[in-house]
Amino acid sequence: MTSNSPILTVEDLRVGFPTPRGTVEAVRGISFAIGRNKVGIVGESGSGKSMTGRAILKLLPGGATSTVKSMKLGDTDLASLSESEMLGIRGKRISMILQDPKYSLNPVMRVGHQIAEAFRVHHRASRAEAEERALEMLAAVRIRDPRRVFSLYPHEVSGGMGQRIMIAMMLIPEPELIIADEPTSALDVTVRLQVLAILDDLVTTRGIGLMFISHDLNLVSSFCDEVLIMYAGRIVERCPAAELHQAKHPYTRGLLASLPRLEDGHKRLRVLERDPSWRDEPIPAEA
Amino acid sequence: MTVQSFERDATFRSWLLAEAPESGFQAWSQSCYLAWLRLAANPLAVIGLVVLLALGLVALLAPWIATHSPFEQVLAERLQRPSAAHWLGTDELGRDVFSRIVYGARTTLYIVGLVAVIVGPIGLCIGTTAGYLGGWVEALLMRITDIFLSFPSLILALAFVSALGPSLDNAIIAIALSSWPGIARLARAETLTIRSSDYVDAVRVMGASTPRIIFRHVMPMCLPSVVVRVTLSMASVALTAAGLGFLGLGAQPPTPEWGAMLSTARQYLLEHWYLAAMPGLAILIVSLAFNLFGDGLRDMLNPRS
Amino acid sequence: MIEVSQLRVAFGADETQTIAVDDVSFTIPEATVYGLVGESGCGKTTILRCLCGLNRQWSGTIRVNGKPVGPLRDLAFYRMAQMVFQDPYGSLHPRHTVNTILSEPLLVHGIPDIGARVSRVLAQVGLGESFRFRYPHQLSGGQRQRVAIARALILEPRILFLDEPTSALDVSVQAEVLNLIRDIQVEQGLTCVLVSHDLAVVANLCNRLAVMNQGKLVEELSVADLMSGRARSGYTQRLIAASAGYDRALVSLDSD
Repeated sequence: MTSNSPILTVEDLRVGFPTPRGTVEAVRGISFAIGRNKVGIVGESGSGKSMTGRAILKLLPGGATSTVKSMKLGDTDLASLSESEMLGIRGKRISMILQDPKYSLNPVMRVGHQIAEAFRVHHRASRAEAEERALEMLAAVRIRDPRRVFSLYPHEVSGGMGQRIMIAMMLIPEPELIIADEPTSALDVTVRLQVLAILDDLVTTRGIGLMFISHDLNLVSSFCDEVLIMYAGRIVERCPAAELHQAKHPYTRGLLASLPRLEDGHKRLRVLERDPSWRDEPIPAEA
Repeated sequence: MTVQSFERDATFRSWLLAEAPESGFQAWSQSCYLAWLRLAANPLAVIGLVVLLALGLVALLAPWIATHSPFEQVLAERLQRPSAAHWLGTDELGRDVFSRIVYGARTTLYIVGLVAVIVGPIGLCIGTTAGYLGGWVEALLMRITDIFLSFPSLILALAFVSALGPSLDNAIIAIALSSWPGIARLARAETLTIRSSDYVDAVRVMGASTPRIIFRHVMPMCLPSVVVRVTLSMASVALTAAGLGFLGLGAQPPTPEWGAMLSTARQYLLEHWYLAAMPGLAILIVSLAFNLFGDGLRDMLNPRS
Repeated sequence: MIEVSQLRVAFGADETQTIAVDDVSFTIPEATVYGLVGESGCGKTTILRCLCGLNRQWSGTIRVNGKPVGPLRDLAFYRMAQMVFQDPYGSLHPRHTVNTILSEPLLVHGIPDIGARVSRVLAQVGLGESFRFRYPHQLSGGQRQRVAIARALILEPRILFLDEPTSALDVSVQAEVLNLIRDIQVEQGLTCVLVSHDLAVVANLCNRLAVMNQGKLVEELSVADLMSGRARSGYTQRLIAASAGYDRALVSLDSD
């Protein structure tokens, strides 16, 4: 696999939920590719962005159905894999970082052991070896005293450190792709930037693809290389992050205009007027 | 059905499903209707409800359903097997078993209903007050609750009834005394979560008094759990009442009561199994119905929306 | 309108005591919007709760409208000062209709003419009569927050406390709610205290702000100073830089 070929390609992904009023389509036919770069997927609640991440890992809630024309991780066809085959993908080739380490770390296990477990699930290694690797990863996420943090419980670490531990846990099996679902939304502003910097460094040096799902347009446009804007289950805009202010779709422009900015002061914010045609009108094919 | 009645039903249903209700009554009816739909989606719970409604009907229409008087003793016809004349046979005093079971439904319903009506409000009030006020009030109320909780229910009932004399009403009070602590504990646990929520804070910032907060804001949130718990405990109330009756401490003869019937049927178990089996089966069915319905109530009142 | 002097809040006792608010003093003139900014745990929400009467364990002096207030407040105070909470999903009673929620303050204070007042305040926040008898779970986040604002306004207070009113809302809804708050504040000359971690929101609504860090008031500045970067404290400068988005060059990784 050359360094230019995409790590993940998805074509025409659809996810639906059964409800008393019929099937609701959360994701309505999206296609995208992620290479060794950081791709941000931005949307509001109900846009389908979280469902996209879960559909790739086949971790949808019960009852949800997903169909896709093609979904490839490198040369592997993800769509055709069975559940047991997916176990070899999850965590090993694709990792997922969730929002709040309070809920995603096992509260009754020491954090070091959780990281070591993440390694042993996918590699044959002795406990000592796995613990060594875990300590290495804790150092890689810039934790100053890895040995001390190794034996802490999740409730004893701060939010920022918890998220770094999460990153360590997700990176230790050396995946090809990371899906990060609102990884910094639960963190304070200054801590957020540090965690992102760590993620940035690790992802760049190891050549891992990153899918960054968030509602924070500002953050995604400054952190990622490419931005995909989702609305009502479809991608309505895709552009390099640096060109976001030149966005063409009225939804994106409306979102950008409605954000309060420090430099604007008491300016009255332009309220986004939703146009019903955005739901169904054809979207120009990706550039 | 005529076209007119179709239209009437359609407008009624659309009134129930309208998106923007126009009155508090409509809004309340809508949520009741949706709750009913949730219950109806659970077939076992519906079966439980049907059985309980049947119990109620049987109790109400006992004089018309029973074939004989439950008190009439015809000693010449004692211990008869089930036949066309006596559908479930006769007991040791020649009374018709079927009629006694039918009238026994009244007794059971009376006991269970009265206990629920006593235990629910008392447990709810004590639990929510203790949970909301905290401090020494909570400590005092919870210790009182603990004292009652530490008595095995049957022993407490026995002690109470033997102190005051055996009668149906004393049995009811005794059962109620041993059932309310569980409800109070539950209400307090729920209140602890509720009292730190934003909507309670919002009402405090309005300047509402503590009784108002407890009654109008905390209790409605505890109510679903308490109702489910009371319903589920009705099963054990029915069993405890039967147990007391079995020991001769509940309903006194000649009042027909399923537990008492079971007790006297012991002596005739080998040859006249139906004398014990029939009231036993009745107790079983009613307990099961309460359990099934109580389970369904939980989903109905606490939607996972 | 509001004067706070040497406010101190401590939880726990002796060795395990945490000082949530450490000797904070500030003054808020009438008809202005004052922001309390900081990261989590800095004490900004604790100060707000002391001001509105929810938190009763504090020491120091608080004067509202010229008169000192103690930990316990009376109905007259609650008539004058109301609060909008952060979480639109938690601040409305799940089993009460919008009508009941809005009537409650009027019933508590014994104010007549409930129906008309509820209608008026619903119109004020941009919700029509069709929302009057819905339950909170039938409303969107933005609509719930409007109901929360309506509930705060129905007593016609002069002071409004806002605890991160838009942080739980979608971006597109946030603009509407911020505009609504601004319009009402200007129209009614309300004195507002706004707690937020988002400097852009503070810049949009406030006149002055106080930056808090770990219970201490780091600095007080006007929004004009904030916008032009004339903050004196390094901590404030870091907050301003962080709100501009991610820039790898600006992040120094001093490890934890």
